Amino acid sequence: MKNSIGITAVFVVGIFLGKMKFLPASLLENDYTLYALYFLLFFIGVVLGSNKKALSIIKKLNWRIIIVPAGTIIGTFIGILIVSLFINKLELKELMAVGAGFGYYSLSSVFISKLHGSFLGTIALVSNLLREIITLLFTPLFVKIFGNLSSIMSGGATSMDSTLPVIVKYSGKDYGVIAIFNGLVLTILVPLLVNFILKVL
Amino acid sequence: MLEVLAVLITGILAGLILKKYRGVIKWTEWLANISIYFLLFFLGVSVGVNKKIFQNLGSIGLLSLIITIFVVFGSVLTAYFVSKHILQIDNEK
Repeated sequence: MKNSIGITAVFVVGIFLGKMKFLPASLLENDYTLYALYFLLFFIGVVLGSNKKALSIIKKLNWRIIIVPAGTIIGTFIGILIVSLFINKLELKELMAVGAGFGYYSLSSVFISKLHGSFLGTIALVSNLLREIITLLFTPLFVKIFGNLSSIMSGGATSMDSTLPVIVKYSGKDYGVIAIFNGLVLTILVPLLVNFILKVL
Repeated sequence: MLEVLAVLITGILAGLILKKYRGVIKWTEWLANISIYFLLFFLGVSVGVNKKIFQNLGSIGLLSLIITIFVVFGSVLTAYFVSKHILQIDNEK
């Protein structure tokens, strides 16, 4: 949560400096951000690969758990499919890319803005940030109505870090491992799926 | 597409090899954070200089909220279905 406040603050400061024309325009024309994006992707890989807890979890996993991230993906896209009937400002493909952020707002927003422009990137940022916030706020209610897996599937990629504490608290300790696995699979899939949806589909 | 996969896999392999060196990993986490801040700052700047986006920030927020509500509902309903009919989890604690 403290991370999301920091990130929002940096984003907002950027907006104002851009608005005030405080920065030389040449800064925007040069494409350093593409390199930064690949560096970020590499660093994320290193952090994931060096995660000892994740590795020991995967080793003793019951492979049926793969149903959980699969369910998160299916549930997310069902929501996207339905909402696409009401939103005509965005194409289905664009909505799917936003959904494929699975709550991972930082990576999905910079990726989408690079591939498809700042407009969709901003929607991805706000929408995925809201996914984390809604999960943090409504997990007690979700667990009561929709059962213990609902907190994990609502959290998406964030179920391995920022929403893990509430998941463990309301769904129970046994769900911590499933939550980390779900987050891990989705975190790896975010850049791949976003890329696939915007470039290949 | 392929380069994204390649960069990610290279990173994961490097992480697996380097995981003993906590110092290096801590440093990488720091670099990852810095790059995220850097990239989001520039996303902010590009929004600020773009009149069309800046003037529509309110409707962008509303649009995003609507998308998220549907996404979250899709997810929790799928969770209900999966735990009831596929994994048959007993939700009583």
